[in-house]
Amino acid sequence: MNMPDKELDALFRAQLNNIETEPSERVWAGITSQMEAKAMQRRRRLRMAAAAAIVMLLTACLLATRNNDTNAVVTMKKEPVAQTSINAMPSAVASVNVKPMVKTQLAVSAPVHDKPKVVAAIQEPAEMESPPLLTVQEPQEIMIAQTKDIAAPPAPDDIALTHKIINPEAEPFQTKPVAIIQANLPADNEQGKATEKKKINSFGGLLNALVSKIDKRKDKLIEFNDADGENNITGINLGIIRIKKEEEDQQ
Amino acid sequence: MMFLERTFTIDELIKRCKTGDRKACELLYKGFASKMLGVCMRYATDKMEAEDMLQNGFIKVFSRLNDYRGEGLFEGWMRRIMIHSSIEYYRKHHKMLQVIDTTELASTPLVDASAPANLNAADLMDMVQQLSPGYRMVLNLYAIEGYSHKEIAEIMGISEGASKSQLSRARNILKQLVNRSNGRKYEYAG
Repeated sequence: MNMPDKELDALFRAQLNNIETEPSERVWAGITSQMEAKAMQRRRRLRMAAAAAIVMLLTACLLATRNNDTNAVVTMKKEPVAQTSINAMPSAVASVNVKPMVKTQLAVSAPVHDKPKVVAAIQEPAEMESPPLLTVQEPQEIMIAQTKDIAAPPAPDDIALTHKIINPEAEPFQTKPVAIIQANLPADNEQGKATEKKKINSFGGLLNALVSKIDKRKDKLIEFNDADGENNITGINLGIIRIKKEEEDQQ
Repeated sequence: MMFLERTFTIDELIKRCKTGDRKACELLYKGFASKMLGVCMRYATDKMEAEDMLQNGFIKVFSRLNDYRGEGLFEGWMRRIMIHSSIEYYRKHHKMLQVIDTTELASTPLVDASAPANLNAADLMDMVQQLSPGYRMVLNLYAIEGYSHKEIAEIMGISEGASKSQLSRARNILKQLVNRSNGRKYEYAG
């Protein structure tokens, strides 16, 4: 005689429905290790999402304030160059770069006691709208300083453009304007190099580096303190609103 | 030496588990692990496989604790997760059907199953684990968990007809195994 289906089902249900078996230790060990891995993955995702949100926010803020800020930055860069004149010392070589507006090079190719040859070449980009930033009394002419012991004017071959003779007594040289340029430029470069060399030690440092790539102002849109692994915000510059936290060691 | 013990209710443990309290998770695991392994054993071929199912199931339980709203027994909620975890394991590994040679079973003398009570839980578990995974899943879901063929078809991704036919074949195999086992017992007794 064969067992009915319902009876068979009831037999198995009664015997197996509440059966208990003790698991081995490896099960809990496996659970904890997998939970740790999942938690780490979750944390990593959160950090990535936060970083992406911050970058998007910064980009949006920058785009919103870009026009005003760009003008301000250009004005700041123009000022020191505008005060410079081409009444350069003979035998001095100066190079003034005003990016992206103008690239001006001034080269003097004669020692003091030789026949002075002052050659100035002003390169103006074709797309440039505003005039060069250097204050040149006559921009289209080459100024040749003639001292008393030099009688002859320079050979026409040495001069690329038109020239005029300047009487040093009537138009005396200003005192070492080029030296000012040379004193300023390397300082900026050193500062720039120092910034580039600064290591990124933390998440805040990474964000600082990102922001500095976008925002060239001294006070960045947002600054983080990456010292000692902390990622606190130390400064915010929204154009109108500026908040900057002074560092304790500076006070 | 004094041992301080504190008993927690399941609700307290669940609350603490939600906050990431590892000790509470361990207590919750220890409270239900043996019962849940019993569930997984019915769906697995052996204990090793059942423990893998249990591990996956508990990870899901801990990660979905926020979904438990206190409606119904926590054990029932956890049990459903274990069942789904077991089915998922079966799908993932998609084992080849372990076809039992029914001709061999048929050749064994059929004994009247008048004394099924002689079979203990371990014997019956052994029989269930001999079934092919597909038959085992359907038999467990229908005969023990009480799912309908429609629900089984949805869970396993098969048709209702396939569910019915698999259950029928599983029952036939089990009947033969029960009969053979009873016969052996009678032989040993005689």
